[in-house]
Amino acid sequence: MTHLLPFLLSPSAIAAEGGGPGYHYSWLQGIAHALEPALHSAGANHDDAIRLVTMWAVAFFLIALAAVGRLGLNAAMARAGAEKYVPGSFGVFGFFDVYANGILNMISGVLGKEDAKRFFWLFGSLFLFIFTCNVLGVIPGFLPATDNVNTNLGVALCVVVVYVVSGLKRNGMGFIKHLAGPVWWLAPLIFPIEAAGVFLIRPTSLTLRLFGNMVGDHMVFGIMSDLVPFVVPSIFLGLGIWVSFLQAFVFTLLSSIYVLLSVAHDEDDHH
Amino acid sequence: MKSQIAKVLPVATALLLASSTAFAQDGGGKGDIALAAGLAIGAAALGGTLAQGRAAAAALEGIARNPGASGKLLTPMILGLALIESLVIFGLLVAFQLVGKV
Repeated sequence: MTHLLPFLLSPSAIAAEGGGPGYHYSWLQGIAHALEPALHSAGANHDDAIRLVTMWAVAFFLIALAAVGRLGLNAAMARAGAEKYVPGSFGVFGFFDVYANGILNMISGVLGKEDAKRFFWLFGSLFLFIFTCNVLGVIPGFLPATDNVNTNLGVALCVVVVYVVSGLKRNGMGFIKHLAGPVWWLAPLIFPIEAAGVFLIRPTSLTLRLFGNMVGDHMVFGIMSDLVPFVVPSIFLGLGIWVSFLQAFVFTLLSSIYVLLSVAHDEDDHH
Repeated sequence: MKSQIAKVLPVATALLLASSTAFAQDGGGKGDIALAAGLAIGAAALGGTLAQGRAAAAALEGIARNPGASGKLLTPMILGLALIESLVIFGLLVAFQLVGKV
């Protein structure tokens, strides 16, 4: 029990020194420690291994939750018919009802209802995954899987693939032509900038925004709990929850705006 | 007020640069790197605060004119604030990298 005492008094000190040899903050890190040899052989170092295992745990949990929700919805619809389906009290499919409506409204404001339903699989899972990964870092002892550049880059590359492929599918060569700008004699100047913007700068900014917010927020909480060990750092935990939600929101909204920019060239005048 | 700052600013910058070369004679530039890290996050925070202040002020003025539109104004305001903040975060990342090199 005494080895917990410095953790209670100054968690950031232990976090700063990496927890010491064999010190596990939580059962999740214990699992990560057990899985580490396999991950080391694949090329991940200690920090990456923890984030990878956290990410898999979050994904597994969310998929399980979604499966429970879907099965519950199927059961309720088979019982009462789709028109008479009314979600009951606070249950799993009540949560998904509220969440799905919220995301649909948010994305419909950007993309329009039809495209929002078409790309709903991406934005719904993006928001929930990033929010859960971020908010897991607020719990003392866990680390947010998104304070590693690799996690964020993976998610951002998924978004890049979606908006490039959907732009090519929807507009064909018009997608490439739109990167050349409005007039043909400026194209050698504009095309590299736009292409770099679409393929390089957008995923980089998405990645680094999420990474910087999570790392900075965690570090601020660590420094605050060094300064005042007792009650005041809990305010920064609240800030952590708010920042987690906001960064997931901004990531999802920006992804939807990028998909809009790729996909919505039908109404433009043909230049 | 602004013209006074404009008069003082070149002199202050020159003094700052001159003093940094005096410090750097022992550590081989470590003082420069530390100074650069502080300036990076300081300038980023300065610009970010001014920009976010303007964004929030515009949103609040819109809400004051039309309190019923506060829900519709909230989402673009939050999005604008987060985008401005992302540039501040990029400055913070540069500061992290520089502090790692000290």
